[in-house]
Amino acid sequence: MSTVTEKTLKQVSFIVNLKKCDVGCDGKMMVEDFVFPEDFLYTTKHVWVKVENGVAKVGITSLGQSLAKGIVHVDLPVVGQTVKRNETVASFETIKAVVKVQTPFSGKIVEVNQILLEKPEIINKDPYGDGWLFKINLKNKAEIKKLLTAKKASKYYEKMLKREKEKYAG
Amino acid sequence: MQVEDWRFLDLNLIQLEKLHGLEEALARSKKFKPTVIFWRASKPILTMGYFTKVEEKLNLKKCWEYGIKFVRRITGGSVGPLDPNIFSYSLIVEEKNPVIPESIEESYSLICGCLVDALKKIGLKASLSNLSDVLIDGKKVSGSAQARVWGKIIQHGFVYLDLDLETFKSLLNMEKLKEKILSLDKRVTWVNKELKKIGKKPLTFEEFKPYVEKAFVKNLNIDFRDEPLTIYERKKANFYSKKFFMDDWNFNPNLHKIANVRFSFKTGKNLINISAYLENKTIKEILITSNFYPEKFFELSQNLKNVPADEKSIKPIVCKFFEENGLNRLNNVTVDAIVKVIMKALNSKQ
Repeated sequence: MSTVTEKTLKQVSFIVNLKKCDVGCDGKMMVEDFVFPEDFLYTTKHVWVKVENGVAKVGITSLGQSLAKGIVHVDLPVVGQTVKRNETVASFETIKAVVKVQTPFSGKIVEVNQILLEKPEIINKDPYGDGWLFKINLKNKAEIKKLLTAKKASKYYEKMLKREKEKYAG
Repeated sequence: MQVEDWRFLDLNLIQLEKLHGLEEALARSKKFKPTVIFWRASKPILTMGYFTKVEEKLNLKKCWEYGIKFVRRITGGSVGPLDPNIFSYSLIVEEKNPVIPESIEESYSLICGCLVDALKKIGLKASLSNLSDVLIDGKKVSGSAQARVWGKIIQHGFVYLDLDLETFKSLLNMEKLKEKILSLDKRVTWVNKELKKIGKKPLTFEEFKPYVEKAFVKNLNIDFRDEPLTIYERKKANFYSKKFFMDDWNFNPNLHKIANVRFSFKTGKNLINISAYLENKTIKEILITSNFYPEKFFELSQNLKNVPADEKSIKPIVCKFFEENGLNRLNNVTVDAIVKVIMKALNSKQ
């Protein structure tokens, strides 16, 4: 394995300086500084989902946007487009990497967050609020069961960050 | 840590469109193995990042005049030249693979560090800068770009062994990128130019390759295993490469995604391709490309946006465009014939 410099370790310390996965003071699940609101559901690909009245709002988690850092471009699906679960429907460009977002549900895209096309940095600033990506009309509600609760997601991402820590430890 | 076996493909010369098709086929494959590919573009071509706006970055007229195509990749970044004198690599690995860090910055640092080490081995003072660029004496000699998709990390990049910088500069949009273009001489270099400065012989693609191979094996702590492509993989690669040959993908990936009109018309040696998106009988997006007067057809496309998709609305716009450009016909194709082709295309809406 290549030598990991002191600078490198410092750069990644924000993700490897782990505390135990915990519940924050306002009732939100936390992994280090990253929030996983309890009323949201999650995939293992840094995507959050909030389902209301058969429509799911989809976005990027606080941890996901943090790994991506400065988001400079966003590509969104088209309203009316019918998509299948795990299909790549959106993408964003960060500091020189394009990250593709897979939809956690099959269904029809009913709304996209147009403002992100002009101001993609909103995803970094407010990932669970104004930084949402798109809304999808659920075709198969059973797909909700495939998602993780905030508690399970924070456990999953805690393990992921721990693995990262082990990588840097060599 | 246990040494992992990675698949190694030495493809040498390959069409850029096919290479991107292969990357996508491998990344989508269920029987996936971490893979490194060494390759070089079979002819001069421009590669551009997924979000690159063609009209802003390129001098389309010059590209068409020189017969140099441009291909949109799925990774980020800007426009760059590729040709047989430019060493290129692709790396495809699962995001969960223990060798490559999850952090984008760290993964670049590790992979591009291999290129730095290879350049150092041949006697050049290379260093990593700006995340994914490799510099010699402050000048860029190598760049890389990355995408994270289908649970995989796809990273590809290049090292300029030789570079026709003047041709590359002439293909860029001077109006919009003047300062950047004029400073390219100060910001870019290539391996053989730097080797000459220190009195060393130039290196070919074949001679440079083993240095990179050794650096990958050492820095990533992996073993390379030669494993040629299977017939199935070649078939899949051909399938996924189709997109990269398509004008709508290369000009406007959004149109590629939503197009409900795709039409090709051939008469003699003349070829016209039309991609469009119609909504409520109106042309919301359209791209007309051709192998004759491409710049005229491209300009015409811009004039047809948001126009009702009927002959009554379209014909006057096409006629006016021809008049303003002082043209009666293009390569013996009349205005009427062009209107008929456009209407045939729009009527073929899926």
